[in-house]
Amino acid sequence: MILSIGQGLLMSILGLGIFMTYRILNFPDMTAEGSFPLGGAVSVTAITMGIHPVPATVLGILAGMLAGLATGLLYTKGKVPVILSGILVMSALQSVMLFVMKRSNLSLLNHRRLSDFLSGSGLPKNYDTILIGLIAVALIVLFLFFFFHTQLGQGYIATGDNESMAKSLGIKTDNMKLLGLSISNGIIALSGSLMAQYEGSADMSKGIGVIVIGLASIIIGEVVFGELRLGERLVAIVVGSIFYQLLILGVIKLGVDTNYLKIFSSAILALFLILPQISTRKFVKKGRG
Amino acid sequence: MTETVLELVNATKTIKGEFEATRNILDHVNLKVKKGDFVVVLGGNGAGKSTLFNSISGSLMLTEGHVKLNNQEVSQQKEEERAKYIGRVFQDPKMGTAPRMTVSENLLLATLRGKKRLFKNRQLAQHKEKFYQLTSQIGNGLEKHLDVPTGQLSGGQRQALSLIMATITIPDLLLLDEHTAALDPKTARSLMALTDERIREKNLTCLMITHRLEDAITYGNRLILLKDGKIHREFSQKEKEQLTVGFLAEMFEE
Repeated sequence: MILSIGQGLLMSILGLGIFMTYRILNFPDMTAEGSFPLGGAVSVTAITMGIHPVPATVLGILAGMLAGLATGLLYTKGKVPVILSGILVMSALQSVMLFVMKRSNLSLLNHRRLSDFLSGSGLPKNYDTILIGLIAVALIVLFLFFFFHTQLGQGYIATGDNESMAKSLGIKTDNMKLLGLSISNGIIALSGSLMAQYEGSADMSKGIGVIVIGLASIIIGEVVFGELRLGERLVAIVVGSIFYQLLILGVIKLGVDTNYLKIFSSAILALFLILPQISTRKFVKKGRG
Repeated sequence: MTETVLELVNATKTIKGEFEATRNILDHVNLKVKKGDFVVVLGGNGAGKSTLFNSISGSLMLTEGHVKLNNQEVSQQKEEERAKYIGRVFQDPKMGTAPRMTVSENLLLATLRGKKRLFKNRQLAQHKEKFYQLTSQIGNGLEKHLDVPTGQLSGGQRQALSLIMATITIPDLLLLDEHTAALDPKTARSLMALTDERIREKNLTCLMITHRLEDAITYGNRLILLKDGKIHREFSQKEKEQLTVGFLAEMFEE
């Protein structure tokens, strides 16, 4: 249970990153499946090379931002459709990770991670993950909340909301997309970096299906809480992510082989995507009757 | 001498359709608009009115010829860059505002038209008073909806908001692209009256496309008639005063 909450917090950062593109710019950014494990790969490699975990985590974020920038350049300057741009970068990142780690996974055994700095604080086991998760989530939520309320952030939101209007008001929409994709993938890479440090290893295959998990956090939050203001929506993603991890925990408790978890991830997301439509249909019928 | 705000020199836009022959949808148009001019643009479907506007705003690039704003060559500038000179109201009420952002957020976006958007707080609260005053002058209840997403407003309210947004910082050139066409007659009339009032009050330079012949006669000091991508006829203020709806309608038939 505590484990799931901790994981839920770390993975909610992924959801917050995906929110920046999926809900503001209105497209699912496939780069996430590459930038998530990339963050882990870069940070873990850096730590094994003797770099302090804090700058190592920052390096992971920067790597993710570069990945997002690459997708953004393909999309805005190269005019490649955005889903395809993301897939191209995601696929290319497999080689990048192999180049960074020199193998498909890398262990952190006998190296210090972020959580080791908290071990002296007398926290019970696994609570260190929650504490790190809370700090990181708070930082990202505050950053996003602040960003969305800047002149720049408002231009970013307008770009996703009505691009032709945004252009007619002098908003450089291509730059906004580049900025959004970079920040988004930086945040996603942070999530990957923290997860890798929590699990004790980085693994190239960790990215498979993460976009489903990220979207699930966003959509569960929306279905459960309904209409919300911006700040509340960000918090709803965090709650949605924890809720999702608890659902998965429930599935495991039912005795399902953990090798088959991905189909349940997708099923949970599909269910929450379909749910609102069923309830509105019913509502419409009632209204008529 | 009054300064020239907009100048088109041999403005031409060629399209190469996949199944149709190459043709000029804008064909060597020459036009000078001076400060304070209010030019009404008439023309049938496919006459090139929208292409004319899109070429001026930069959402379309000319194949040949030049666009000059304030005597500066802007033919190669993108729409985002030309936005510092141009305020634009679109025909479709959905086009001119950001639907998920509130009325005041939209207005705030417009106050920064053509300016750098910084990584600093937008300070919406400081503008609220001014936004309230601006919107309450219109008389369609917009001031009560400052914190409502524009997606929930009526078409008339959105077009009025678009008009305010286009003129909240004084544009060198205002483009009105059939901005009353999607509205019911009563709402269209009051929006047109509001438009004229704002243009006079701020001495704006304006180009307006319309299909309402009465409006074409009532408003503006110049009238041009586009046909097949060319300026077919042009009427000065004096000539315009003699025009009748019947005469204009006949010209359309030609």
